[in-house]
Amino acid sequence: VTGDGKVRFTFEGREVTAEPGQSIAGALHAAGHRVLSWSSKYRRPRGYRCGTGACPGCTVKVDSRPGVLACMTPVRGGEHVERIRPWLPWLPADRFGAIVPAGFQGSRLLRGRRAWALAEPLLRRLAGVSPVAAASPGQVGSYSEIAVDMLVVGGGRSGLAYARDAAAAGQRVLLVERDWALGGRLLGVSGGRDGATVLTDAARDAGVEMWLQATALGLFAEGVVGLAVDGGLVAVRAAHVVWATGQLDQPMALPDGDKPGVLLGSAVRRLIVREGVTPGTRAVIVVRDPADPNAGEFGALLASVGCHVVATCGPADVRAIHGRDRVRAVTISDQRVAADVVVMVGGRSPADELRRQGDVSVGTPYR
Amino acid sequence: VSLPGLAHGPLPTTSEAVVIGAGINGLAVAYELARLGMRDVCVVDAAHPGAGASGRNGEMLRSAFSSPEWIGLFDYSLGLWRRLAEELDGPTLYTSAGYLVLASTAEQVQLITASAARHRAHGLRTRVLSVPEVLDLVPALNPAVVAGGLLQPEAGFAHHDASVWSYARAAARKGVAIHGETTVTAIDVANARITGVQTNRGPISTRLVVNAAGGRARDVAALAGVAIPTVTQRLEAFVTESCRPFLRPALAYLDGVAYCHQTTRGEFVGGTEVAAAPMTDGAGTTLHGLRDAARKFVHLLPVLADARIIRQWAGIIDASPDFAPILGPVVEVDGLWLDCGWSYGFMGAPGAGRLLAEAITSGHVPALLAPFASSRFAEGRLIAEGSLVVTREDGV
Repeated sequence: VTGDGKVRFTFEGREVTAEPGQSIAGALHAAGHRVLSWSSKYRRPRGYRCGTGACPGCTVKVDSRPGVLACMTPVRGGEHVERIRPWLPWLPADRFGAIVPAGFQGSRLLRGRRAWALAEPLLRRLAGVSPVAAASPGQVGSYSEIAVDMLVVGGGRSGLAYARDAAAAGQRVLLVERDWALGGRLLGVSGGRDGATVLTDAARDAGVEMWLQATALGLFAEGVVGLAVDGGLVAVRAAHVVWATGQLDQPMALPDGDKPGVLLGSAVRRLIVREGVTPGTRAVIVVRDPADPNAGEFGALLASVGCHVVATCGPADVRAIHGRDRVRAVTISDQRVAADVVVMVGGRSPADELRRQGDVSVGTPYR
Repeated sequence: VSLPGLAHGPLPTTSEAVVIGAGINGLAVAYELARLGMRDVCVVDAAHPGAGASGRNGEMLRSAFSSPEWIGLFDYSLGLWRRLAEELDGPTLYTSAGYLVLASTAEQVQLITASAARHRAHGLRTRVLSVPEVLDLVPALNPAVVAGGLLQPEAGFAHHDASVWSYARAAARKGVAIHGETTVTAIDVANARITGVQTNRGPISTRLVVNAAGGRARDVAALAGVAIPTVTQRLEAFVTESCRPFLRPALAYLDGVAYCHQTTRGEFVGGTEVAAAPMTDGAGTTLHGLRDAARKFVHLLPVLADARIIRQWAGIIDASPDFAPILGPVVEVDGLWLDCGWSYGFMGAPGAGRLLAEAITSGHVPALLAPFASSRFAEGRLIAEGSLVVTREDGV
């Protein structure tokens, strides 16, 4: 943090100024950098998208460590951030459908031995985004094991409250959260930060041990939960595991809906409320259900930071999203509207991969 | 389940042959039987094509083993692999990227050198590589683990799902009925002859059953009153996110009992054999296995240290005492054929399928198939094959 209260880092060699508490992806979005990565197969440009660490759009290299999710990584100051560049990043491979057709295993072209023998070396060169390069080649992270009475995965409202109560009842409770702050969805709601602080303090006072930037990798056959913590691996054996992983906003199938600038609602909340970043100047809100009260809420939220909502429509009305590597305009029905942000307000699904992995059924229907 | 190649409608009440298991081996033998003119062949699977080991294996292909029996069967199979996509009119994505067996000790160098001599005797093209040649071929290797290598240039890998489904569709086009979600509950035997099978969807009358049930082969054989001396094993593998190309050939790392390759899409796929707790029936994965794989592969290829693993999975095999497949008729029960006991089933499927179909239709077991008869266990004629990247969980 420098004298003016800002933190600075470099992106592709250029200086970027951030506010303390911003993520790398949030600071890059604020600075106007939209293309953060390329999709691995078609090398389509990708950028900030979910704001929950659930998609690979903001995967970058930080201080030569590849595979860092920039939306889940706070700016510390002094980092060197780079894009992970595929071979010929600007080759619009999706235009060469004959060479790299969608689902290429099924392609007629590749049935012939010779055709495949010719295509394979090219496909191979096109494949993959991250070069394999390790910051510390040959080094495997640390490993440790711990045992607790209860492991709570997810530091949102439910996880914090549950952990607090269990600890108050005398259990040894470990709560893990992949983000660097506790509160989950509360942090994306106006005024929610205070509620998060109250819950966090209560959990801490009750004796809950809390680990931030700790990701639960899976429930393994030995009956342990594996955690990725600070480049190392921790195996947790817990008598009870509480999945409090919340919900994830779901994307919609829009034409060119992966273009940088097309954001999920969760990303918009995070950018505006938590990180103080204005997503853009002209927004189109796409709502799956016209009766969804969230649509009006997003309109008000965007307007509060000076982002003009130019249109609100349903997913079927979106005919095209224009712009080579970022949103420039949207064609809604027959009308082309200039815009630099598209906000998708669709459904949510429980983030319950870990539960399903453990083959644990849910007793009551999810609402 | 509605998938291309899968039959709709009721099970047939009678069938010339019932193949149990729609893995690549069951599908291959069914395809070959239909190709040889058998009219109604039915394949039944408790789940769907490729649900078991066929869809979970390391998809590596070679024929450069060390015993004449393995070389014979697997070189025949590799020859078929090379033109399988055209034969089936469906993709297999067979890639002759080469198959490198990495030797890390003087003893292993001796082993591969002796193997190469046998390969020459059998007409296989393999080459013993010096340390610089190995490092030139795979510069990302940790030099500390390289003492030499054995390269089979025309070997490589194929795509598991593409191959399974190309077989399924080709078989269906030839009239084979492939029924998923159909579990065999009993095999009817009368006077030491197969008379039919019972399933959860009804009975099928047949005089010919091929047991290609993969990890469940022993249970299926037991339904016909036949005991096969296999051991169920759970193998684990993982895949990283797509990376820029750094590894061309398929690679077997003898010292780590590990194998790996990088797919055309850039994913690094690897598996290791670990002496784990005997959780042989579940398809769940272990943190122990993940750590073992991470440690071995980062040691082997140090650039992988920061690569992200995106999936880990397990598959079940039902391995024979000598890890060689059990192929051919069963003496005790007329009409029951075995196509099981596999450890290298993906590799061997095209060859075994064709040879078994020839044996079934002609009544004469081809010479390449004969050594793999189930009678070898009772007669104490186990096949000694020294270049396998697999170990017994029970330490045998």
